[in-house]
Amino acid sequence: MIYSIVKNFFFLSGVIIPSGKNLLFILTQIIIFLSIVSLLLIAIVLIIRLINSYDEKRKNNFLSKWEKGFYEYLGSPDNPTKLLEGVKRSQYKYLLMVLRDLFSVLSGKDLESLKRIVNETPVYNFLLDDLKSNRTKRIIRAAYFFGASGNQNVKSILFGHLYSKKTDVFIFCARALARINALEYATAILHAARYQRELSTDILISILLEFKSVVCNYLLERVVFEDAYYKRIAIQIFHFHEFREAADEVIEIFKTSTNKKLLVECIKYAGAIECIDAIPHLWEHFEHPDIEVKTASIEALAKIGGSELVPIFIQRLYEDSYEVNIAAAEALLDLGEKGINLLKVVAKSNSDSKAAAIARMVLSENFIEIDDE
Amino acid sequence: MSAAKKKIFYAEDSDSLIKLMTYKLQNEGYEIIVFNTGEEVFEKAITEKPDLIILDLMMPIKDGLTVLKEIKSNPKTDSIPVIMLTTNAEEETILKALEAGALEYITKPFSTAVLLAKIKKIIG
Repeated sequence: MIYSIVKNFFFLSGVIIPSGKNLLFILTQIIIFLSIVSLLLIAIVLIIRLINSYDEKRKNNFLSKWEKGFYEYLGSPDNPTKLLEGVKRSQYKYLLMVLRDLFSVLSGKDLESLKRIVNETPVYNFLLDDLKSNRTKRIIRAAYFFGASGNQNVKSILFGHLYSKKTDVFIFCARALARINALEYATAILHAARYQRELSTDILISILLEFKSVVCNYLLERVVFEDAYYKRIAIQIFHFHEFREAADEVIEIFKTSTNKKLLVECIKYAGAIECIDAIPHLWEHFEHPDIEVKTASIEALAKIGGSELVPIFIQRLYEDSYEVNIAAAEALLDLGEKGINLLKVVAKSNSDSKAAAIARMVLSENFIEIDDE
Repeated sequence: MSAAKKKIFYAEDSDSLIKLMTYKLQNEGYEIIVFNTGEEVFEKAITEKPDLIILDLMMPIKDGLTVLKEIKSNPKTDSIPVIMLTTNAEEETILKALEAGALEYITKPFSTAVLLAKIKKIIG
């Protein structure tokens, strides 16, 4: 009865339900099909596990024989080629795993020994093949090792990968060039970075910071001719290295640019290097309509200016913008005793006002008592 | 009769580094007991009384600084010299570890030769 009702319902809806025997047959077929699929999946999982355990066994066998000699070699003046005698190319991946772990934790003679394995043994050609291949994993691995071992011979190949469509390839190759300190490619990295949609500014900066500080000279040579993106990143690098030689160029950019992000970086740089020449321009931006620009100006002036700025910062405590208020309170703190005393007065003045609340908050965050007299 | 080997506890979560340091320390004639987490170091230190403990700061389950504080706050273990070996080079962290009683604070990357020299200087 129910079956016929359901059947009629589906029939009316355009779905044909098979009759009793046919339904049973179809269900049996489905169950058999699902069982076969399940068995196949189980077989695939078992095969993968078998391959993995075989590989693990091979790795352990290899390392148990190789590691003793490797540990003896580390830090010694011995020829690293001996270490590779009898090691098959298919086993290089295991020794590279060990090298990768140790490259980041060892220094001194130990690190030199690791570099020599990459640069002076058949491992070099193995990694070179990887770097020339078109497989992401292999390129990344090779770029890491050539970067870590400071290999100067592969710079042009690394450069070729900077325009790869894969962000990972760009990141590893750019980082390798930076670690090698291939200064002539610093600008190329910045240019190529524009084509990497998934690349964050933070990662790009972290790559450029792997260069030695002398990279600032290279970036400075081009900064006038390049666009806002280049300028913004370059100024952040100047800021990090407190590179004062860029002050004139940065002030020039500061005077002419209307790009808010770029202005903020100029202001932060001026504050960090305590650039007195930037003070008149910082004053101009004190009334900038953008809160981020205004806040950065207050912070920079606090670093460069003296106690004559106290009344101006006090005034900024009463503005509408919360960010500007905080920056002004912190600026007063940076100015020393006079600024702190006035901040205390504000904190005690009117307990309901926003300025008083912010003054109290900034003082307490810096462990300064309000009623200490 | 030969003198008993000096015993070193080494708490570290990197297998490659554990193997390397175990080899180097055993080669220098030390007995080395390895811990992959910071959990058991303190309890074992009470019973085993090592001559030196090398602690990584960042370890799973219990971090190195907590273990260091446990060691230095117990009269049974407070005299055991502790070397911190870690990637964290922040001034604040270094000060915290030294204030908590660490004898040395070595940052990674480090030289195994320098570490061995410091160990020799501390426990002979």
